[in-house]
Amino acid sequence: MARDPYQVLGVSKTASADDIKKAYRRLAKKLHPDLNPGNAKVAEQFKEVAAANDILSDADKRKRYDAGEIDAAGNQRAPHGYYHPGDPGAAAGTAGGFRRGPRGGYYSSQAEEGSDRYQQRFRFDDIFGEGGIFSDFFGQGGAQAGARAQPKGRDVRLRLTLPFVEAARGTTKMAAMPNGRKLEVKIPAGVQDGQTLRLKAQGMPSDERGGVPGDAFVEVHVAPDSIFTVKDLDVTVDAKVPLRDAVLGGTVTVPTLDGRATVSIPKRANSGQLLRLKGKGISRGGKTGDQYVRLLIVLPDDANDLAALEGALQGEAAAADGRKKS
Amino acid sequence: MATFEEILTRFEITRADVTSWIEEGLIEPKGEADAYDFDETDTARIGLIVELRRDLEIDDSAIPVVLSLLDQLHAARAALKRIAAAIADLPPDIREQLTAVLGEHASHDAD
Repeated sequence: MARDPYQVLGVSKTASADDIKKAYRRLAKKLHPDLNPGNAKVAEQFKEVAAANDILSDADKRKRYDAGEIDAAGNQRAPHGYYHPGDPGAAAGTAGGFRRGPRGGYYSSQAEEGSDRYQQRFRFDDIFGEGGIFSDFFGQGGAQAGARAQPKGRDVRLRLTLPFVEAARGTTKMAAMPNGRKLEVKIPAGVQDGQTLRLKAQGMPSDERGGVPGDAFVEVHVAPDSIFTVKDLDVTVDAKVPLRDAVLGGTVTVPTLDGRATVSIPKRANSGQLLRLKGKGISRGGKTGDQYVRLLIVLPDDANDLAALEGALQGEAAAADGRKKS
Repeated sequence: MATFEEILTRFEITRADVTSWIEEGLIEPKGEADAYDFDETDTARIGLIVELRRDLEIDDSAIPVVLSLLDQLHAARAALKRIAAAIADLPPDIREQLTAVLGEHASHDAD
C-alpha cells in the first residue's frame, strides 16, 4: 500500500502548489539518489517522495486523488527515472509526462559501472598511485608530494613462504624487492608462521642525499608439513615398526630436523607409544624442544612372514582352547 | 544513443543549455557540434544536471562543483570496490586479521 502523498511530502490537504513544490525540493535535496549513491534505503524513500510529487504537482491528478478516483499507487506513473526492464509500471511511465524517459536511470546507476569516462577524470592513480592514499601501503617508488617528503626512504613489505623444516632450522633466502633488487633475508631458526622480520635500512633508498634508506619488513609464512606435527617447540613424527621389532626390540630410522636418525625400539613396545629424542625439537629464544617418535605397529609386508605369523597365532589359540577344555 | 533534438525534447531544455554544458566540459558527447551523439551516460548526466538545477535548486555556477564532487565520489567508490574485490580474494585468516585491524581503527576514530 502506498502512503498518502500528502503525508509523504509532509504537507496539508490545503497546501498550495508552491508549498508542494517547496516540500518536494526540500526532500529531494536530502534524498536524491545521485547524492546518496549506493544507499538503497534512501533510494526507496526518494521513490516514494517522487511518486507523491508526481500526483500532487499535477493539478489534474491531485484533483482526482482528492476525489478518490485514483489511489496513491493506483494510477501512478513509474517513479520518475527508474528503469525497470519488463516492469509494466515502466511502460505506463512512457505514457505520462515522463521527463527522463524510460531509459534514463539515475546517473549513479550509470556511473557506478566504473566505465564512466566522467569519473575517469579522477583515476585510480589518485588513490593507488604516487602520493595517493595507498601509495605507502603498496610500497610504490617515488617521493610523496611536497611537505610530506621525508629524508628516510620508503619501507618495503615483502612476503616469504618457507617449508617447515627450513623455518625450524633457519636459513637464508633471497626475496625480490618491488624495484627488482634482490634482498638477502636471514631467517632465524624457529621462525613462526606470520612473524614479521625487520631488516633495518634494507628498504628503498632515500630521495635525499645522505638520507637513511627505509626498512624492509618481511612477513614469513611457514607452510604446514606432512611429516612433522608441531606443538610449541616440540615436534612429533610417526614411525612404522614391524610387529616383530615391537615385540623383540629393534631399531627404526626417522626423519629429524637435522636429517635422519636411528632410534632404538625397546622390547615389547606398544602402538602409539612415544619415544623422546631430547633436544631434537625446535630452538627458539634460547630454548630447545624435543622430538617425539610415535610408534605405529604394522603387520609384516611379506606374505610368507604374514602366513607364518597367522600359523603361530592359530597354534597359540588352539593351545589356549586346549588349556580351557582340560 | 540520442540525438540533440531527442535530448532537448526529453528534458525540456534549450539548445543553449546543452551547448553551454558542453563548452564547460560538464558533458562530453561524441561527434561534432553539428551531429552530437549522446550515449546513455551522457543522457543520464544531462538528466542529473536538469534535476540539480530544477529540483535541488543548485545555481548554474555551482553545478560544475557538484558534478566534480560527484565524479570524485564515484571514482572513490569504484576504487573501494576494487579493494573490496581484492580483499575477497585473500585467504580467510588474512581477511579476519584485516577485519580485526579495521575494527580497532574504527574504535580509535570514535574516541
